[in-house]
Formats: sequence, structure tokens, C-alpha cells
Amino acid sequence: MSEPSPPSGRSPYANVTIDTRPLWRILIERAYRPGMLALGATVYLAMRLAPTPDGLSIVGQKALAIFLLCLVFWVTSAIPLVATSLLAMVLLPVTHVLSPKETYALFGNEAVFFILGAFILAATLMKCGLSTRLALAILRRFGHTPKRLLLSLFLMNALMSFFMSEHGVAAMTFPITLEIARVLRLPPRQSNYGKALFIAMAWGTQIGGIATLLGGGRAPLAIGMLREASGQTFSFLEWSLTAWPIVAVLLVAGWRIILRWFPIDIDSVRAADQIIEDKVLRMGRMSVRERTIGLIMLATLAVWIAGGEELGLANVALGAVVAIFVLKLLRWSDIEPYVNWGVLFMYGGAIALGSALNRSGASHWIAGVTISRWATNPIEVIAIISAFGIVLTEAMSHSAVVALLMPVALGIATQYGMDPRIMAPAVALPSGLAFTLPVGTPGNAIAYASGYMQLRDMLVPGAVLVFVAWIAFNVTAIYYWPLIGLPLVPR
Amino acid sequence: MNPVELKIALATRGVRLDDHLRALLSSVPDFTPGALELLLPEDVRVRVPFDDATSTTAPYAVVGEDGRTFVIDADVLRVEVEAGVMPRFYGRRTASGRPMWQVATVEGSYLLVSPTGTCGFSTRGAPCAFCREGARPVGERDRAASIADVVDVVRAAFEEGVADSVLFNANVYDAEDGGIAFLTPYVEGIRKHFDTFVAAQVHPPRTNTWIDRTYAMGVDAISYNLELFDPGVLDRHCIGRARYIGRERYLEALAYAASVFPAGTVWSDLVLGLEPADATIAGIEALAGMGVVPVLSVYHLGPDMIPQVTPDEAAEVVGRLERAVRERKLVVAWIRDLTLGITPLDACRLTGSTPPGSATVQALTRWRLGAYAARGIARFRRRLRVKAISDSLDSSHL
Repeated sequence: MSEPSPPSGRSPYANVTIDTRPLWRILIERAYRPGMLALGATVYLAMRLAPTPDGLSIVGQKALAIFLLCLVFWVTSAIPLVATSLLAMVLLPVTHVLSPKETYALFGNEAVFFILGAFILAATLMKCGLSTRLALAILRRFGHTPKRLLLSLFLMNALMSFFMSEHGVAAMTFPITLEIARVLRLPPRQSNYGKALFIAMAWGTQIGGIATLLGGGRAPLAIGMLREASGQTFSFLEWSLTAWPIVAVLLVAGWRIILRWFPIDIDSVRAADQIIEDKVLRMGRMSVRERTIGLIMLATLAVWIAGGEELGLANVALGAVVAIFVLKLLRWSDIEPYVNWGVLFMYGGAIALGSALNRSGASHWIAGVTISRWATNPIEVIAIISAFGIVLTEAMSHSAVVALLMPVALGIATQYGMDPRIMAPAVALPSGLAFTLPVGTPGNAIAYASGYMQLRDMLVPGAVLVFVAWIAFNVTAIYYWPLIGLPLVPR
Repeated sequence: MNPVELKIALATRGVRLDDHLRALLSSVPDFTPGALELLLPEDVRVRVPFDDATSTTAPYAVVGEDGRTFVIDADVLRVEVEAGVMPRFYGRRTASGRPMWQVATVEGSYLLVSPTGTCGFSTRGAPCAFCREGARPVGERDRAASIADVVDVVRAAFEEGVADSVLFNANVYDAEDGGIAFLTPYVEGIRKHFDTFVAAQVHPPRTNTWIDRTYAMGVDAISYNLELFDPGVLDRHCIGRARYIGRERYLEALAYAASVFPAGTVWSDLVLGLEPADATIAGIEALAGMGVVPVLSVYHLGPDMIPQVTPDEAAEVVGRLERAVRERKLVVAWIRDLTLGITPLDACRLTGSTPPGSATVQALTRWRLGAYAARGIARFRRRLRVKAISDSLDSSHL
């Protein structure tokens, strides 16, 4: 008699898990959200009803109340980040901080469209399989020993995050990494090599993600807010020149830390070679479509570097997108699932709020009552802002940190006579460096979710890398940035 | 005689019925019940088997006199009882034409819904083909009642006021999920149309994720019936359970379910009389130790069968049941009114003790407002405990 067969079909409850902690703990956790909503509302009302502080206009007070409300919601994630930005966009015209026309015009900021273009281009790479092909090619070419495979994975993630959203890269390379770990029979939570593979994936994407304007939305958002406040901006090349020393230091430091914390405990990766070889075989030759998309990407990159300032970064990105559709390389429905539309709303709202704070003088006032009291010179200002960014981003969305700190940083720049341009990388670069906690960034969350790591595997080495990153950032800002025309204080 | 002792005696030995009661039980066309439900003193319910064999050999008889009903024996026993009235909906058909009694029957205060057939000693009073031989009924899914049929029957029973909760039991068994996947659309159907407690008796699934899903889909109480604790006896009497599932998996699944479901809503039956009393007592201790409510199901002995336990030993087992739940402070008031089972509440009645927490639960469920509140609490608990995995990912801003 045979064993009864399993049922066909997929259970609608396939994705549930039961929280078996004591109910009082769950209740406290569940009360968190309404508590934070109430806190936000209380903070808002308290700010609105309080006597107007010296040095702050009534409009500034209203803008500050909205900012504090958004601050509570962004930090606590009481409502989705996107919804918080939309709330700001609703409140700004309702409270007459900005007119409706001004508010919604800010949503049309170039940064928002640049991010949209970058999303679509990254989606194109993923949809046509070119990104996977590139990843496999790197691993196949270089990864024949355990150490070289690990290094290839680390650098491959970093390299790809130069051109695509780091989150997208992590999502794309995770299945490859997982398959390598499985085929090598690395025991989850025990194998050093298994831990090293996933840490390399997570750290590689983050370090690569700060290298260009394409690694995530942080840099375009910061530049968008800078442009609204001061009219200044960064070209594609300028931004990469600003970031590269930090990227280089972190790649070396990250690699050394991985090797030190997770000494390689396997002798051969032949099984992984076979898997990679099989995958390459399955992909076959590069199609005409892939070649064409690759050419468009290279051309786009070249134009961003050579003529991005004159043509506009967003124009170049959207031009490339149009070219892809003119050539029928993709359908619109192909890229829709890959584009995070909510993030665009989030950035639009954050830029509008930042602009309102600047125009009303509220950011200047905030700077006066916060960092100005602790810092005595521009070097200390940069040290404090970067420390805030690097700490906050461990628990908050990278973009929320930028939205939070950038208006304040711009206000501080005015007070200390600093070049406002410096505040864009001073806020955006540290806010992309979350190495210690799974919630810090999707890359970390994906690595942790692999089951190959425990929290302390990420926590301790991550904290060391965060410290290195903060030092490297400040040394770069103080000694290197002036050499490329970005002095802390304009001459 | 203590009513619980009487319950055991009646359930194991059966009764003879007088013609008047037989006529009452034959009032539904094509429906021949094999048992009569009696309400004994102290609200003890029992389902007493009667068939051709018991009609001549059973030592007890149920007789009607002047509109009252008595259980008597050949000696001095004469206890007034209430005979369960045949629900009117047994005589009705669902919209698809299926007789309602084929879909569900009233057992105590709950409606036993079995879209196919039932499995387990506690509902049949005897082993089914799966338990006995490891065989599955052929084409059981094809003959299964539809969801609309089940909803029809539950509505009819609730409107008639003969039951207030639903217990699913099916003889469909799948190795992976233990049969709960088959019951899922039925549970969803009940959840969609009625505000009621839902319990299920199935086999343990292969993985604990199915237990999570069982709770998530709206099952309030769950039973994986081990039936026999002694491995050798289990191998002999419950071939299907031993071969396809295994004793250890029963215990693992029960322990896990006890951590998922509310306290006192996971139970497992141990058949009284098929294995030595020591084995049953060890089973009681093991189940109670993991937070599972043990229930002793009463096995209907045939005329030529010799019980493995003497009446004294049976009393000792029931006493140990009471002591085990009291020592472990198990909530025992949710599992009650099992007509073929000796619940811990029954055991407390036998020993005269008061079970912990029972007053609160009974107060909650006996009155309409209390029952409404209890269901609300159950729903709230489920909302707190059940998490979609995507929620976890959302919280990490993926």
C-alpha cells in the first residue's frame, strides 16, 4: 500500500507564522503604532500651539510642526515612508506654508525624474537578464578558489551597485549566493564561509551603492533638496569623485574584516564552479536584445559622465528609457513590477518639505538650536552630521535619514559659512552605510534571512566597519574634498 | 452510581431500548442512528451505542415511563436521564438535495461536521479503516459534501438552536498536511458565514507550518488523537496512524500545537480499555506535561470482547486524569461535552474537585453575551498572533 499523496494546490495560508511570545509582549508591540501616531499628532499640535520661538517666523513654526510630525513618523515607521511624505504634501498647502502650486511643482523636481529613469534602466537590466549574465561572468572568470570566489562575489556586488540600485542588486545576487552556499553544503549558522558569502553580498552592495548616483535614491534626493535650497548641484562625475576614496577604503577594510572574522573553512569550490557553469550554459549566447540594451547603458553612462551637467541627469536617463521603448526592447508591463513607484512619492514629498523648511527659515532655526550648540567649527559640524547619519541609518530607511537631516544640514551650512554643496555628500554618503543590523537595509535583511548568519555575525564586524567608515568619511571630507574643489569653507 | 462511572459503563456496554424510544429514533427517513445521546445527572453527556448485538446482551436498558426516561439494570439501578431529542434538521435536505444528517450530527453542544466520514474512536466509538488497516476510503473526496451543503446544515442547526459550535472531523488523510488542507475551504466557509467556535480533529501534519496555517485559517481548537500511548498496542490497533504518522510525530505536533493555540484548546484522545491502564496513565502524564488536554475516549466493546482494564483500573485512570490536569494547571473547560470521551471536566465530577479556570470559561461561553465576548477574544488573539511573512519583510523596509 502506498503512502497517501500530498494535496495539490497552494494553501492560502502558506505565508503565515505564529507569534508565540507572551500576549502582553505582542500587545505592547502592537500598541507601538497607535502610540507613535498619537505621539506624532501631539508633537505637531504642541509645536503649532506653542508661542512662536525667537528667531522663527509663524510660517517657519508651521513648517517646523510638519517636519516634527514627519520626523516622528519617519523614525518610528508608524506609517509607510511614502504616506508620511504624502502627509507632508497635504499639510504644506493646507497650513499655508506653501501654496498648492508651489508644493506640487516641487514634486516635479529633476531628482525625482532622475530616480525614475534610473529605476527603469535598472529594471531593464534585470528583466532582460543582462545583470545576471554579468554577475555570472564575473564569478565564472575569477571565482575558482574559495578566497577568489568570495572576493569576486564581494566586488561583483559592489561593481553592479555602481550602476543599479543596491537593493535590486542584493535581490538579484541573493539566489546565486544561496545556491553556491547550498551546493557547497555549508551548514547554516556554522560555516564561516557561508557567513562570509552573505556578508560579502550585503556589504558589497552597500559600499558600491554610494559610489555613484545610481546606487540608490539617497544621493539624487540630497541633490534635489540642495538644488531647491541653493540652486547648486553635482554632476555624475563630481559625485563619484567625491565618494570614491570612501568606497576604496571600505572595500579594502570590508574585505579584511570579512577574512578576519570569518576565516575560510573550506578547501574547494569546485561544486560551485559547476553550478555557475550550468547557469551560464542555460543562459546561452547573449541575444541581440541584451547587446542593444548593454550598448544603451554604456552610452547613457558615457553621456552622464561627459555631458550630464549640460543635458541634465534626468534628461539623459529618460532619453535612454525612451530609446529602449522606441527600439521595442521591452514592454511597459515588463518594467512595472521592478519600479518602486512609492519611493518616487516619498522623494517628492521630502523635497517639498525640505524646501518649505528652507524658505521659511525653519531649517536655519533648527540648526541654531541643535548642532550649532555642540559644534564650534565646520570640521565638528561634518563629524556630528555624519555620525548622526551613520547611526540613524542603522534603524531607519536611508532615504528617510536624508529627508530628515538634509534640511537641518543646509541650515547649518548657512550659519557656519560653509559651502551648502558639501552637505549633500555629508548627509547622503553616511546614510548609505548601515552594516550592523538586518533592518538597516534590504541587503542586510536578505543576508540575514538566508539563515546562514546569526545577529552577532553581522553586529560585531559591522560595528567595526561602521567605525572605519565614519573615520574614512571625515578624513576624506577634511583632506580630500578641498582638493577637488569642495572645501568645507569656501575660500 | 456516579454519573461519570455510569457514562463509562453505558458507553462501553451499550443499552437496550424500549420500543417507544426506538420509534423516536427512527423518525428520520433513511437515518438509523447507532447511538442514543443521554444527558445524565450533573450535565454529563454520553452517547450510548445500541445495535442488534447490544439489544439483547447489554446489561442496561433505557426505558420511558410517564414522559420520563430512566436508565435501569437488572439490579437496583434506576437513574433518571434525558434522552437527546432528534434534531429537526436531520429530516431536511440541503439545497443540493443531500440529507442533512449525512453532513453533520449534533454531539453534545457542538455540531460534528464530517464532509466525508469520520475518523477516530471518539466520534465513531470504534476504529475506522485508516486506523484499523491503514486504508483510505476509496473516492472519499468525490463523495464529499460541498461547502454550500455544509453551510446549509450549520445554518439549519444553529437556527434550530441545537448546537453552538462546530467540530470538523474527516477521514481524508494526506501525508503532508494530515487532512487539514482538505478541510480548509470548509473552515473558511464557516468562518465567512458564522460567528462561532471551530474545532478540528485531524491527523498531525508532517511539518509544523501546517499547524500555524490551521490556527491562521480560523480553527480555534485542535485535536490530533494519538488514541494509544503504548507503541506496541498502537502498532496493532492503529496501523494507519503508526505507519504513516508515527507516535513521535503525534507527540511533537501536539507539543507544538499547544504553543500555538490558546491554553486548553489542544486535546488528544487516549482510548480507555484497549491498552493496559499503566500505558494510558503514562500517556495522560505525557500529554498533560506538554500542555495538551488528555481525553479518555470510551471504546464500545463488542459482546465477546474483554476489556484490558478492570472497572477499578478505569476509575484509577480517570482519577489520574483529574490529578494530572490539576497539577499542571491546565485549562480544561474548553474541551467538554464530548459524548464518547471522558474529559478532564468529567474526571473532576468523578473525584468531586473543581478544575482550575473552568468557572471563568463556562461563564464566558454559557451566556450569549459571554460567548460573544469569548469569540471576540479568540479573534483578537488570532489577529495578534498570526503574522504574514510579508509583514516581517515590510518591517525591514524591503
